[in-house]
Amino acid sequence: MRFFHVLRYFLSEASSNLWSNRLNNLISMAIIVFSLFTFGLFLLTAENLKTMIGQWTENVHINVFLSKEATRESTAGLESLIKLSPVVGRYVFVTDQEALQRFQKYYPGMKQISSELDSNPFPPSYEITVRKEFQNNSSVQELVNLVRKEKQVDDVEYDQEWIDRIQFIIRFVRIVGLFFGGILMFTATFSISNVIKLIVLSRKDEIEIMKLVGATNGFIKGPFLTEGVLQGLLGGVAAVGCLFLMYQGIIAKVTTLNAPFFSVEALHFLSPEMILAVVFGGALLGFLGSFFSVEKLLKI
Amino acid sequence: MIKMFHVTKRYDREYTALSDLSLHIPKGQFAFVTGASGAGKTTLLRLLIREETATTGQIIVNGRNFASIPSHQIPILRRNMGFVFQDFKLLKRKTVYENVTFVLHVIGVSAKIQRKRAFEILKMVGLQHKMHSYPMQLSGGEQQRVAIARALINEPVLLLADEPTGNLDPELALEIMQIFKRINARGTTVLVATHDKEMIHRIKGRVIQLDHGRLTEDVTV
Repeated sequence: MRFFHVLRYFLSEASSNLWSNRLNNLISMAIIVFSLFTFGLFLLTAENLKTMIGQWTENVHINVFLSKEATRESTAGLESLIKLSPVVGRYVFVTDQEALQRFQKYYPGMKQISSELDSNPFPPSYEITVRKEFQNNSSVQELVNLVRKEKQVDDVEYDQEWIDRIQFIIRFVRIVGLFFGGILMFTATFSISNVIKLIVLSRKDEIEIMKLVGATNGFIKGPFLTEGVLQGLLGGVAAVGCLFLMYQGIIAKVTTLNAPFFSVEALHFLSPEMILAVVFGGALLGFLGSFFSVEKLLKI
Repeated sequence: MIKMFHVTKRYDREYTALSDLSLHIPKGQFAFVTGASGAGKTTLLRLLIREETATTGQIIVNGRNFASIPSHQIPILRRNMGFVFQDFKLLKRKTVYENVTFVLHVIGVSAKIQRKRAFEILKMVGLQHKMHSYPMQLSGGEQQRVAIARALINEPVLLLADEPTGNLDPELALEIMQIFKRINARGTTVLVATHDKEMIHRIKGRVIQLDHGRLTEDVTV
């Protein structure tokens, strides 16, 4: 009962403080929103890249592009090398005609161009699906190196190289996100701390009176800490809201692009856990900001 | 109620605010502490509300020895005392009602009881009709009566007042002192610091005279 009574008092005092110092509070909240938005943006980008990588790594492919005149018969040696390799799950020979048909199917807008060409620009190829247990394995690279040495092989495209590059980008995005997010969050904490400091200083007489009438340290500090937490929570919610609006904008843009191999379903917003992390992260920033200034100023 | 044994308060080597002061103020007594500026009146009150600690000596208030009270218990100790100051020390952002009930808020008294006690106490000081006014909308005398109401709402055993009439004209000052007398008649120990000798003679009570931190006279008029 007493707990709720005190909590209600803290909340009403904190809300009244927020309102009476609304300009200062708005500035510090804007900094929180910006910090958490930046952090959330990096998180969102890294998560979407991770999901995309996850989908790609389900089927890592090696595309062996052959010379124009190569046929399945003339590459029997290469085929047996592929067939006998333990890393190969399945493989398929794609003729130059099949490759052209695929291109026309996936890029209907470019059908005109391909039909205007004198000859088929697509080479025949072997499409190899690597067995899941061999993904990220050096024996795949050995197979790629062996295949590259074969006579009628023009080029070998190996997904894992791409995947490695994108995984590097994800790590980079995460590190950059943590770095900038960290700096911004420090700024946000500092800003909240300063706003609360100003409020505490402007209420010095009031605090003295509170002490004289028997208010405990906790009772005096409570409204200031609650104010910091409320600022952080509101900032966190606003940051998630801004991120969601931006995400919806991107979805709408991607839908109008109608890009093949890139569907809207592949994109996703932050998970509920991450949303909570951003919102409560804001609350934690607010709490720490006000805690440091109140602790420093209210040496009771 | 108040016992002081050889209390000395030194702020630095040069300045001694109270020197070897021993006092006993029994429960229910009405006493004045008087003396010129710098006599040590305010220091004495600050020691009694534990805003300051004695350099040497012992202070016992309401059975509690201040030397052995941990700092987290000071707020609880202060809830049994009421304070009235020359500058009223009211919360400007809060209404008369909120100022008066603030102590009850601190100790978690229900809203219903807060309303009942606030009405009773404001009626006693004649301000029940100004419940929703803000301190700045009141005269000096009214503000001091709000401060008295706040000091009394938790039914303290001890009421301390530091120059409570210093900012008021003689008529209002007398009115305030009469309120203190009425409070004392109900059993509350009252200690008033004042340099107003005329007021002391009109109200009457025990007079503790200080001069440069030393007890120079202790009489009942």
